[in-house]
Amino acid sequence: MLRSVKGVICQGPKLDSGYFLHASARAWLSAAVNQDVQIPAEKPRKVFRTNESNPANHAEQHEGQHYSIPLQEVNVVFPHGLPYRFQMQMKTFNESCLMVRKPALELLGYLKNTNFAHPAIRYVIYGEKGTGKTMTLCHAVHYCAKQDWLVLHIPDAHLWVKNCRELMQSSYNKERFDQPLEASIWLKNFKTSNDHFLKEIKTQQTYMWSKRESTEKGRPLGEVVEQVSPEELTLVHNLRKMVGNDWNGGAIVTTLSQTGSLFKPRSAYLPHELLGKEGFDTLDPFIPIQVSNYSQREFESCYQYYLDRKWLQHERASTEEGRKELLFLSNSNPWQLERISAYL
Amino acid sequence: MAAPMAGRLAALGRRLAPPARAWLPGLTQVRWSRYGPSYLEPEVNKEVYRTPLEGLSEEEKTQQELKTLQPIKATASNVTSSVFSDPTISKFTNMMMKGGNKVLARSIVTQTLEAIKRNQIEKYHQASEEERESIECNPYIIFHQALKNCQPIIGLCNIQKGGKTYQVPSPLKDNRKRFLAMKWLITECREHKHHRTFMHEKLSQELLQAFNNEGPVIKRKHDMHKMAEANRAYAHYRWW
Repeated sequence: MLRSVKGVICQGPKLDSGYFLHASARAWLSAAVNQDVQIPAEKPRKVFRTNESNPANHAEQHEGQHYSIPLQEVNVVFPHGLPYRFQMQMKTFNESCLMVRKPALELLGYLKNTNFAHPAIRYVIYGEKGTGKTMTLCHAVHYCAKQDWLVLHIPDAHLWVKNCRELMQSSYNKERFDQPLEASIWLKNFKTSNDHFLKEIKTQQTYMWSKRESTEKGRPLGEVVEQVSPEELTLVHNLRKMVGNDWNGGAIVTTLSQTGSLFKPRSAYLPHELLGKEGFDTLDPFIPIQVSNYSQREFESCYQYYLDRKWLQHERASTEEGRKELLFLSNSNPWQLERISAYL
Repeated sequence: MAAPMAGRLAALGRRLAPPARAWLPGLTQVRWSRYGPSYLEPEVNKEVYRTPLEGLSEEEKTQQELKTLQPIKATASNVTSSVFSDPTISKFTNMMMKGGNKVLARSIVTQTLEAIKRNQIEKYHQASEEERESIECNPYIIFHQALKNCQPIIGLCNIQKGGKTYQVPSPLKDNRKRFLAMKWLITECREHKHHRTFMHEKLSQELLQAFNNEGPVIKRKHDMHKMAEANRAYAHYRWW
């Protein structure tokens, strides 16, 4: 699945080529002027950024490049859902840049071709720890927000099930329990991202939404054993109803993660391992999308991005030796690379 | 201190070492090594092995030949051939360590470096063009400079004379200066700050203050200097 592209592809035309010399002065160089000192002379100019900020236009040629989302848009589209370390990075660099990767492009292709008359298709993003599943999901969410879909983004289902502070008996159904804290936080964030849709939604018993897309993340549950089992939680009950593909006019994208899951070994990353029999049966059938470590080209792109943003400050980090050592220490794992370059 | 006496013993040991007699009547070895005298120190730096033979001087060529013949000691576990390794940082990590928990100590130090870098890069991006030149973003440079700023030039040592112990100003060795600087930084963060803040936060603030020559550790260094200045009269009590 990984294309190990040796060397780099020099991007031809106009908009996509160039460097960011300054965060403030975003002047694109149309001429092929090589001003960066860290590029060795024999290799062609490396391009790690793209000007294309609309995910709908992302294609194969943008693979490995970073595209930036304006900060106001980030606050609207992602009130929750971005990983904590990425939020810190956004604050430090004063910009938010996502890398365009193959699994995301695949998912966007499927989403572009959704037939709204058919029942909603379920997509499951899975992969080893730290390979970029959440970021792929965020990329898809950004695309959907740009396409004016209604986005129901649940960042972490584990947060709803574990460590609940308050439980109230539900007034609607006596056997179920409500979690007012988690529900109110999620509703506030939902309101921020979908403000313009809320006027169109009328409170009825049966909900008929014109165009609906629900994005949720986390592992649909199963074996969580607590004093209150998850079947008894209202939030979880409704989540399960949404995950069922008996409605049409949208898509369901989920991400499996081992972090936060209970009673699962650290090395488990495949869907049937993490979901268990019950969860798998609930989600079945689905389209699996695997996310893996960086390819050569993606690693190079990430490395150049960090150098450009002055994140890699160590004087040896910009040398060839340093780059090889980073590759070795991180094993091209995005999470690991980010953590190592944090203190270098 | 026992410095002068130990110095004399070391000198005696060195004079007697060439005959390779590890034992002498009346002289007990306190620090000894399982390695014999013929063992050479290991060379971890990869650059040394990459220089071509022609580039070396005669001395270095004989040394290289010696290395192929003589046995070499094993490297310590905290020494790596990584390009990013820094002996000062390792020393600092060891001093932070409690109960042998090197993992925790190292994570604190890396988080400190990250915190310093984040602070500085945020300032960098928000500053104007002219100020950007003066903002230092490299956490390693900040660390080393802060440590240098905290090192005292002159220290005090206890000398007993006529039943009383006097604080006598005396010069300090480099190792002692580095040790004092690190010790003061760590003690300051552990004891005089709020115990619920994270150590890496406290440390990063202290290091940035020390880099700008302000803060409690610099004050402690100045206090030490003032005490030495005040006790100038006793300087002649020192005989080494």
